[in-house]
Amino acid sequence: MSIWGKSSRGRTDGVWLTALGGFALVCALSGLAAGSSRLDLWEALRELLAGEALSPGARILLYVRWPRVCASLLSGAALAVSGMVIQAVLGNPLASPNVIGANAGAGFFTFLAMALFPGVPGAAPAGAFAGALLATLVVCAVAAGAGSGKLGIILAGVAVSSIFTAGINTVKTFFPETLYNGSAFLIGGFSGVSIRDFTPAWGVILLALGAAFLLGGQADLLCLGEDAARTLGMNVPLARFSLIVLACVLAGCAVSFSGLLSFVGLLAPHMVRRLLGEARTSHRLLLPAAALLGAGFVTLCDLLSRVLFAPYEIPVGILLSFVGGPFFLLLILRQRGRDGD
Amino acid sequence: MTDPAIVFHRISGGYPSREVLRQVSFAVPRGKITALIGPNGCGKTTLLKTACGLLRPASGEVLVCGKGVRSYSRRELARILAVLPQTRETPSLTVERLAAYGRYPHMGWGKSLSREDRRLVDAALEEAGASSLRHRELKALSGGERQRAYIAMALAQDSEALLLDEPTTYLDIGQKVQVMELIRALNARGKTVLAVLHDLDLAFGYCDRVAVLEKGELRAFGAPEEAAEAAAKAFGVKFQRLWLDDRERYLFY
Repeated sequence: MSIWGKSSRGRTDGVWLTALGGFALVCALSGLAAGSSRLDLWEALRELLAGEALSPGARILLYVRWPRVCASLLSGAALAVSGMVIQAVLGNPLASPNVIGANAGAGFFTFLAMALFPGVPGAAPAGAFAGALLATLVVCAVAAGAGSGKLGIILAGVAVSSIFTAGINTVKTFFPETLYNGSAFLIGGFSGVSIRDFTPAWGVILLALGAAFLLGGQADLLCLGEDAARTLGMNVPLARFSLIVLACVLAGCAVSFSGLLSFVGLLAPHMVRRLLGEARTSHRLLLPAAALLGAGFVTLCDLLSRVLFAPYEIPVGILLSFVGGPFFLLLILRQRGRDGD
Repeated sequence: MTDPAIVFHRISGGYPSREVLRQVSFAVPRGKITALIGPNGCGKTTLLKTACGLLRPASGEVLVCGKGVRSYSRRELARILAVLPQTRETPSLTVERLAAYGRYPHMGWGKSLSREDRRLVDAALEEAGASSLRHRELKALSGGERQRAYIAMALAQDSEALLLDEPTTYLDIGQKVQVMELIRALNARGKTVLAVLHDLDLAFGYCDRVAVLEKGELRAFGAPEEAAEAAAKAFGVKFQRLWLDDRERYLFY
């Protein structure tokens, strides 16, 4: 037994993590191997390993598929962990980054950057990241000022979101040219992503994921409620604030290159809680599991979005909702059956 | 005479917008069970929260083991006082994991349970009579069983004193008596207990000291026979002392 709840089930937990890791790996490899144009993966790999990328196959692999797979793995993992952390902190299974204003903030500043600095590389991603962080900090500041804990955060999040959403619509109205790129951002997708688009976001995501796994135990304790956690010796406001900022950094980095793919932040955490048994499993294990599942799921959906209607592709955000939505409904229906026992 | 475990010295205050307590002073003796009673809204829970540093009084001082409660870090305090709050969430947890959280104030940052920690958690589950529940989920337990699980967590904290906020509320009479017997058994092994209680019969039947609060002021503090009259007055009821099963009981009616 451990405080973080591994216990005699250590083996089965290992099996689950390995299985989820395998799932993510298979999705990633399929994402590299398949696409709208056929290529010989081994041939292309051998060429790349030899240090040259001359054939079309090798160039597609290096400049198109590799960045896409990396981007979808990173953003899937980041959004899943971000969602799970926020759900733990707010004690609300429906919470996700948009609840604390991160999505609306990211959206507003992306539109603003598109309107004010059209064509400047990096302006929109930087805007998305800064916007997510700014909105979250405003929400935390208001909630801290009100001293009302979890509910304060949620209410402030709703208000801040609505302000920034109004901001998005204002920019849309006065700068109609932002509509085209902006709508792609709102749906979310990896079309035409290059390594440069998610540098340095990838480094920040990896660091933040590591930090989130370390803070998993704190997330566990927060679920006991504020007073209980405090009397156990925890600095609740500090833990809550660091976890929220961490979640927001993850979400901000992810949306900076992938757009608003928010649904995965709801789906992946709920699925791993189901798979591993929420009551018996610590966030120390749930968080890595959610990261792997989220990474694999987004990569799989991105692959589908490329091949289903090849040579055309649909934004992965649409597919995520079409695949994830019914699946989620199924989960809810099964949950109801279980609660009724 | 040993030093008191907790001393309330002229405590006034409560919440920023509302003063609940007025000049409350008394000392919770070490190794005894002290009950905190009073009509709804009299400040019992507020006083308990002040004792464990969750609330800061507007004036006055709380001494825990002879030192001001503010001079302890949250962690240090958690090793001296284990608290069972009144409003508890029912997180999705097994009993075993909940009990293990009691070791949190004793653990280093991000460390896992040591062999000694595990032994203490096992002992706590055993003492609270929750060993057979250890793999059950909190949500699936009855009120009394859940109470045992939370008491196991407080015991795993291995603290000097136990602060309980209405440990018997929402329980049926059998479960109430079980919880009180458990508290008595823990006390017999040396644990200081301060409990907010709603049932006067339990407070007077099981506790060594009774503190009566009314409208934020301390009306009486002492052994049951000394506090009974003030208690009856505070609630606006009558009382009768009875002998039942060779023990003195108090009937409030």
